[in-house]
Amino acid sequence: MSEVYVGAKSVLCPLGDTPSKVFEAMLNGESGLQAVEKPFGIDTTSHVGLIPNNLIPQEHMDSTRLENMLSVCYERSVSKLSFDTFQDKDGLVIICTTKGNIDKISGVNDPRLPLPRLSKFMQQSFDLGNEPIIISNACISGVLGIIAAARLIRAEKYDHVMVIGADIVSEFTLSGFSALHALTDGICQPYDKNRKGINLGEAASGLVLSNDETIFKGTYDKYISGASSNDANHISGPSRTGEGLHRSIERTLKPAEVLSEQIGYLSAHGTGTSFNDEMESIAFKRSGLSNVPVNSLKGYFGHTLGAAGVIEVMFGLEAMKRKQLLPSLGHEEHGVSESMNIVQEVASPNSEYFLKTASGFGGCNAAALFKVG
Amino acid sequence: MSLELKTYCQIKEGEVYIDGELFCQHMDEEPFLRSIYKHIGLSYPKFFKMDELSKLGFIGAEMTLMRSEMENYADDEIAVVFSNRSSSLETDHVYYESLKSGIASPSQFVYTLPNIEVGEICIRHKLYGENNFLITERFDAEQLLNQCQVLFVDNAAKAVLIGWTEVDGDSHDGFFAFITNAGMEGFLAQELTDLYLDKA
Repeated sequence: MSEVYVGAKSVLCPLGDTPSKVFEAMLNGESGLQAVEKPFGIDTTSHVGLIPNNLIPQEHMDSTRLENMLSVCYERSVSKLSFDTFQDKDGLVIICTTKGNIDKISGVNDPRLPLPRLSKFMQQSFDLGNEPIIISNACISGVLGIIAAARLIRAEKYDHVMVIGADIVSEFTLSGFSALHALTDGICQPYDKNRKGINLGEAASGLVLSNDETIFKGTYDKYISGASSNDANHISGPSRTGEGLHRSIERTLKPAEVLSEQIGYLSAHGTGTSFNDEMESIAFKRSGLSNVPVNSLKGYFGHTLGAAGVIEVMFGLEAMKRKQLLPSLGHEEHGVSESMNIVQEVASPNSEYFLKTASGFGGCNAAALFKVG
Repeated sequence: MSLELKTYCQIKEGEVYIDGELFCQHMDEEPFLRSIYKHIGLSYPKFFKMDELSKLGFIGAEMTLMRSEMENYADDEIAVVFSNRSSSLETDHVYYESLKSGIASPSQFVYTLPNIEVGEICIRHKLYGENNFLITERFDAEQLLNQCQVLFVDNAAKAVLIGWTEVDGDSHDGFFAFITNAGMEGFLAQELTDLYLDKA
């Protein structure tokens, strides 16, 4: 089976619009989460991660915020390739999003609301050779998109696949998480004793996977393996035993013949809710990952839903490349039942293997393994 | 690698077909999906809490999996890959109305993700395998079968329950199939499209 390479990083998030600028900000301990008086009319003290409007140029007259975000990432990722391959039949774009243009729900039958519109918009705007695929699988959408991209390449369906994860912060999602009492006051504290919930953030991020490393102008890394697994337990609460997450990690490492102790860095989901973080600590213990340096990036730009998997893989690869694992922002006092090796200060990884995990509503879990350097 | 179609089920406009044969029709006063639930003698109280999209997926999975010889597979060897056009839009509107009326409903909000129906199916049948939910403009047999094929190539599944579920008010459009890679004869996207269109 062919190797799968990954590169051509792009990002738009509350901390900025280039991977290096945002990484530098995170190294300085900056958070893009800010206090907003009644954000989107919702009565909450939870900080939100909003992308500064000046970073999102209007693509077309009637294009939406999310579509403009997708466009920016598409263009920036393509600019890091030796040619724009996506106008040919051997290239594919995968869009990962939970809610798409959900800010248009207040209008009466706004044609921009149904998700397939995103696919048409991208195909028409950039003259794409294939209709983009949309993956909408809750908070694992991004990781699932990356896994799906690699599998399509290995099965020789496409040579190059760009994965763009994107979601906005809206009245709809903010009110929903508020109704679930899942929003934290202030800034989230993944794995901390005082954690109270999540922050929502908006982001778009792109990566290109390819069987041909020569298409990348800059650096690239290797995708090794990935898997998803359902908890088969509850639609909105994670399994207390971490069953699905544990299985997705096992099914990622085993075929790659990589042992848990060989992992140099684990980028976890770490939303900052009581149940999620606890579940992860149990699943990581069961998977032999308790000693692996681990962090959650949610304190830097919030939970970016469908974008989370892509942006967090992207910065995970960046951290591995720079040999600078970022501190898990907001973690002060350990507050989950199993021990974890949470990154407290910028640290260098001691192997080239990077593991990303994600979990979401619907009992879904996913893991993906990369080799950097 | 070739794919085999083990069994398929179609739920459309008050009728249920299994492998192309009419299985039952909407006869009573009950809502359509609840009527099928009773017809097949199910006892699963969680069904009544589900939104209409999940109910459709749940019934379709029930009808398809009962003819799929599931016992031949380990609990993580069957993947569930679903797709539709409208995501969870019906429930999105219901939730949004609850928000505008002043009391945002958390239980409705949970159903504003399309993959919740996949979660419901996995809970019911204890499936720990791969999941995916694709949004496509129309029933896209090629993409669905591509997903089956790549799962088989990657050794990530031995069988896939694929589904297409659309709900628009009282109108239902469900198509479900159990796909394996054990077949010797190639199975094509065009054949699956023809089966879907047969009752369209």
